[in-house]
Amino acid sequence: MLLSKNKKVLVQGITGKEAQYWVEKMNDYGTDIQAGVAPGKGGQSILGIPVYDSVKEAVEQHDIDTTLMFVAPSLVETATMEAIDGGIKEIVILADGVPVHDIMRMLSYGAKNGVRIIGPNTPGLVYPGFSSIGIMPSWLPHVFQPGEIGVVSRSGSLGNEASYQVVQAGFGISHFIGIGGDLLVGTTTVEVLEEFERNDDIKGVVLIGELGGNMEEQAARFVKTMSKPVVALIAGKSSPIGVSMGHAGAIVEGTEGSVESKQKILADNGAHIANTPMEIGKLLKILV
Amino acid sequence: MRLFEYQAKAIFAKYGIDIPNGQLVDSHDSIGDSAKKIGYPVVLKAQALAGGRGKAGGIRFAKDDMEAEGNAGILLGMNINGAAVSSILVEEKVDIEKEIYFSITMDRAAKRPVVIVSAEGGMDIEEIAKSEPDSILKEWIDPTHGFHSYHAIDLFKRAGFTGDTLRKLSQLAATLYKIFSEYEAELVEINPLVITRNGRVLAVDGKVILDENGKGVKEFQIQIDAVRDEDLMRYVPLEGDVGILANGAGLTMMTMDVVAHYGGNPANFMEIGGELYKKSEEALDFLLTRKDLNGVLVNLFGAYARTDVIIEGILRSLEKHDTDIPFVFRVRGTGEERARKLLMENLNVEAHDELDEAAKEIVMKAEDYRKRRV
Repeated sequence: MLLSKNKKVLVQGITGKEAQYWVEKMNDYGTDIQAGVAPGKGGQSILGIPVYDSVKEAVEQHDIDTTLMFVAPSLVETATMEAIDGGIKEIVILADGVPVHDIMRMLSYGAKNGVRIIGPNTPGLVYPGFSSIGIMPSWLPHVFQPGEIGVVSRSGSLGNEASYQVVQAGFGISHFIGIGGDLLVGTTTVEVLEEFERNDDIKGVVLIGELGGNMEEQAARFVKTMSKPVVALIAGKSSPIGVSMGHAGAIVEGTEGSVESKQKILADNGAHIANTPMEIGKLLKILV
Repeated sequence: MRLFEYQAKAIFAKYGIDIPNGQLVDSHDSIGDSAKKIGYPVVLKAQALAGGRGKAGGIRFAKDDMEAEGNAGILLGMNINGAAVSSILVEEKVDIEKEIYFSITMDRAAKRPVVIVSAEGGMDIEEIAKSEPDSILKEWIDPTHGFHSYHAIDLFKRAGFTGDTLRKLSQLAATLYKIFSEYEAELVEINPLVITRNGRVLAVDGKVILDENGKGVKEFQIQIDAVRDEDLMRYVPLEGDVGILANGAGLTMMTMDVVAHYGGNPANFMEIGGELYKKSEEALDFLLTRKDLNGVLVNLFGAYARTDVIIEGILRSLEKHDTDIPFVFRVRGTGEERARKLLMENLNVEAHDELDEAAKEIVMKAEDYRKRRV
């Protein structure tokens, strides 16, 4: 379901200013936004999209595949529990700054209920030519064109850069999956790679990682078994040790999680390392 | 937010964990009094927010006042991996029977907290992983269920402990999980956790990293209040001379990397993504307070952040500053056309399409500027 391109979407926190900006963009792009939730604003509508007081009321009236959350960090845990209890099976969390112990509990409850959580701190999902769920500039033609490459990224801004390089090289993007820059996230790089490997539309993969944690190391072991070429760009080589670089998860303590170690283990397992964004396109031209 | 050792130990003590008898001292005059109260021989431990303290010589011993004062003087002037030493923790010297490694942290791949134990403590966990990998035991925690003393009994039994030591270690482990949860920590580590010859179980060191978004940091509010404006702009100073201004954490890190790839030295990390994009004037004002820059690379890839609004702010800042250091721009994404037009009209500068090209140019121009300066 992560890769299905025409999902029915619920937007939690739909009446906020930033939410309305993005709902309009997503709507224009063709995303099937069924409903929104904003406590106390039930009965209103945004761009013709009905607003409900609770997830429970929304799911009574609509089939929902995915919920997209424009909710303040301190309210994310509650909104996630509400979505899980409402029976929604995929949750996309944009907020940056959710307490990590809240995330820990949400992920545990989600896993017990068979729910996929993407994020927190994800830029969202783009299915070029079909739909967009999140805060990626899907409407920019030199960044997102339909095609055959799957992109998975911890970062939104570097995800834009990578997608742009894919398109500049003459390819298009089948799926862009942002997984988020937090210390703990619901969907890891390797889980997205597993989905990419199974998907017939995808002929090549671009993996965007950054310093910190062990997600890339874990992904490398799966790369070895993949039939599709993987190009990896890992940010943070010139970042200092022990300082968090904008993303809560982008921090190296000791030797674990350095860019060098990630690049080495990825290369050892058959991934192709791009040192700069432009090298992504060059490598794809050779490999795909 | 990383806590000092003495802060970590104060939390441990509050929860009933045994720690060495000790006092915090911030001048070498008062060191003798403190050491006498504790009783010689003592250990002097430099307090700094950095790892690698032992190797850097930040832990010293003293058997009398003269040694204590001499060593305190050395420690207080020290810099440990970039972190200044502001105080010394004076502690009793303990009689070590065995050193254990113990930590609770977030396992990012498993998406759960994990308890890590090794009966071969004292070294860094990375060193233990290399030299004694089989001694490392892990137990993953379901956060909705918690980590209780019976989980810990099982774990420490596997690590080879028995009897009263097993009971004490297990209680301590469950208490540490309580601290981990109640303080919303990212890491709680005791290394070494010491068993003394007379059977005490002592936290001889303590490392606690709190989630900056969590509730545990509130207790350390003074440190939070001291956060500078540039922290709000997500600024990290580096040693190089090429100033970096970009939007989004990932893109900013990559901008630094590409500058370094082409032989340049980034002077900073500074990102103005999300809502911060409206603050580009303040961001550049701040960056230009640095007098060691030989060039600035502005790399923008607009989505929600509008590149034209960012460029407007940069132009306002440049108007205020009489600077001749070279600027190179790379602009793509939302607002691109207007941003390019603004740059052409105001600075007569053509923005690059590609980061690689922009990085090459700023590295070259910064090099020229540096030569002209000398």
